[in-house]
Amino acid sequence: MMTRPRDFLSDEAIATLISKTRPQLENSLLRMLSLSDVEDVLQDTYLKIFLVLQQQSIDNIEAFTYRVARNIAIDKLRQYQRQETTHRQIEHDLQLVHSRAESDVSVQVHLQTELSLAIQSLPASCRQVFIARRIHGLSHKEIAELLSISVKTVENHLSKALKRLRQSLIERGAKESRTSSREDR
Amino acid sequence: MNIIEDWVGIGIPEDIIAQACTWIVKLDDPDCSTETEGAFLSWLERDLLHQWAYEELAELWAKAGSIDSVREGIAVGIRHSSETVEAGLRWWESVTVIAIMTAGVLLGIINAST
Repeated sequence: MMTRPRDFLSDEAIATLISKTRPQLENSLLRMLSLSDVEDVLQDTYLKIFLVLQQQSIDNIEAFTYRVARNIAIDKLRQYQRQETTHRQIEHDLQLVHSRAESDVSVQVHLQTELSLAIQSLPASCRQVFIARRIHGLSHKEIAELLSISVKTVENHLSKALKRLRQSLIERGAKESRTSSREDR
Repeated sequence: MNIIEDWVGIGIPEDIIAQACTWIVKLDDPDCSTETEGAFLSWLERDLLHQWAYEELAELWAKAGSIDSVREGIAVGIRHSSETVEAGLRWWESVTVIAIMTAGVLLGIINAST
């Protein structure tokens, strides 16, 4: 159902959205952030929803609200991850985001490089199973038969590969932040 | 979602990340059953953190298998690996041939002297 700005802007519609989304958001955000940060995130979320609805309609407003809250929470978590944050670093980040927004190509190159490095750093057995599934498109059963292992072991390798890719990207991201912070000084 | 932090499940508890990884892998299998899909949907609806973890890690999973340079880089890696294996085999083949030839010469010498 489409929500039009004039519908949303009624007190009743605002109250309905908040009563529907706030308890679940609060519960989930409290597992990532402090109570005061959660309050900030919720306030920013509903403010942003309000502002967006003045410009355009939103399809599935509840899902949109959850995603906006998650993105604002990510921004907060990123700030905490950067212990050496300075004004210059923020400017650097803004420029980086801006320049990335200007050029999808540079974003793709950055992602490709990070992912290639992360995949290369996977343990040999994980990488072998990952390539068989993601590049050659073999099913779990086919991989199991090919490598003489169980389907469960194939799934464990793939799950481990995904977790390690994630961890590798988080570590590279943190390292990149520290490097850019030092370069800016 | 173009910044890496947008699709690595930042801040989400590790146990939920592990569960999301397991579901993504199960759903990615072409032989995935409808029972598994049903169980996944129940898990997804149980917690907003499950939805966030799944959305973001599914994007990482998709990107990791589809970006051209990743595929090309891996293909190069595979070529290098197979070249290394072939080079290794060629080296062992040479050693084997030399060993057989040496053994033959030695046997010839021994036979000649007896």
